[in-house]
Amino acid sequence: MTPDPTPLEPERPPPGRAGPRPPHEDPSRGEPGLRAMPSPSDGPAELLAHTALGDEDAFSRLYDETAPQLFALIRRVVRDVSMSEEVLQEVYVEVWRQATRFDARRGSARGWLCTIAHRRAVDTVRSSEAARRRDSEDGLLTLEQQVVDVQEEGIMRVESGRVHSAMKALTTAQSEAIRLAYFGGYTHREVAALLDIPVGTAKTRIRDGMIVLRDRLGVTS
Amino acid sequence: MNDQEHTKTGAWALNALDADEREQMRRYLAEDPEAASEARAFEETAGELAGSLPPLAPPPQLKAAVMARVATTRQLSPLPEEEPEPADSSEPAEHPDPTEPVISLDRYRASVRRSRWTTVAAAALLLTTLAGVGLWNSERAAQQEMEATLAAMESQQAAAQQEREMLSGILAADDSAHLAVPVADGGSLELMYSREQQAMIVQPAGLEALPAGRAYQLWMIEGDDITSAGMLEDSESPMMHSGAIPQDVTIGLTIEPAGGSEQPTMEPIGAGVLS
Repeated sequence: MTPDPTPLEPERPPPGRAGPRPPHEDPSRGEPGLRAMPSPSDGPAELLAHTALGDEDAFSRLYDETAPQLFALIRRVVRDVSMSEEVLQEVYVEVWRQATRFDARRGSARGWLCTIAHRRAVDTVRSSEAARRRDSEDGLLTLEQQVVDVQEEGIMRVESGRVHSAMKALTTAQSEAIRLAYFGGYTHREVAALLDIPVGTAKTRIRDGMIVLRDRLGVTS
Repeated sequence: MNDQEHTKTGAWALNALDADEREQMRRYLAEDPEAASEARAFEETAGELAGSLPPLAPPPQLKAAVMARVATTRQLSPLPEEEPEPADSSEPAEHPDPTEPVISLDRYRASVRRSRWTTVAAAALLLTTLAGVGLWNSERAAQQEMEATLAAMESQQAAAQQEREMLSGILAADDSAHLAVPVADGGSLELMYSREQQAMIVQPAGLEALPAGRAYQLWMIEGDDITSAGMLEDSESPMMHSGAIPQDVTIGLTIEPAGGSEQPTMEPIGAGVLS
């Protein structure tokens, strides 16, 4: 791996609410031709707004700033290295294509990027998982082994301060369900099967846990 | 509020719903602003979870590949500015939809074209087979006649085979092209051709059935130089034409006496240029 990923705003403020916004942030306002060039201090939301105007330089910077984070997420869910690399490519082509649809009033750029990356990663896992299960009799065994991995790694790796303490506010059952769903890429039905609980229970555990995390992390909508 | 659906907001935001449930949920969120806003907050929360992972630099050559693809990828058109209603209500419409695969326009067109023509080929095959079965049933008589029927079926199947081969030849060609030619009396002709393969298939669609003694004839028109490109068997069956296709030749359709004419006896009722 390349050693030094661009540091990602070490003291990252809550995304999307980082102080007063520059006047050119909202892509729906202003005359594109008169728009200022992206400045070196622009965050993902500004870069995304410029990307929406077809600015490849802004997109290139957006990639530099966000790819290590999205790649970490994709690798985490997909695991297979070459598959993850492919997913990352697809994700950024998708980001380029859909940048015009990003609306800063609806959420942070980072949240938007993570949603695209996570969904693509999960879709990849599910389609390759389905193919693999069709191919192999011992699919279930592999699945069980993966679960153990996810649980162990989840505990080791989810360590960023704020998130870590928020996660600690969850019951073990809740955090297990959320980790399996988000980092493991399982459906809530699979989560239920893996934890041997009813589907309805899995669903509520996930939602209740998300409510706690949302409140702890100060996310508002 | 629908409790059953509402409790799925968490699973939705973590992409933990099956494809069916996801679609169902998408519709539900479109109608329930409260649930939609909760789902959005959960998505932000999930983004925070992602942000807690230690960053991992992707291999540098990946970026070059992305930039190369971006250079040849058109961005989506922006959605129309919303109605002045609460911003919440149309969330799912603006939801990024990575499930929709990124396909280049050319490949998309090619695939639409391919599937359409595969359907045509399948239909043609079915028609000839049905015709064969029809013949089979009507011939209950003498052995001789039955043999004649078998021969007819064989020749029709040979034709179908030829049709299939021509079609796949055209589809495989680098220069395969498609043209729809509207016809004045209603209906149209769908043309699929390849100069490289010197082959063209014409599929009539919705043409009027002609009275006995009349038939549709196709022409290749280059100024005053008009040559027959063949007869349509009826108003529905595809026609194959092999032979050189000159640049910018006009394909014209006329109605002629059954058996065809040397030269068209009327102005074309439909014409298109094979550019």
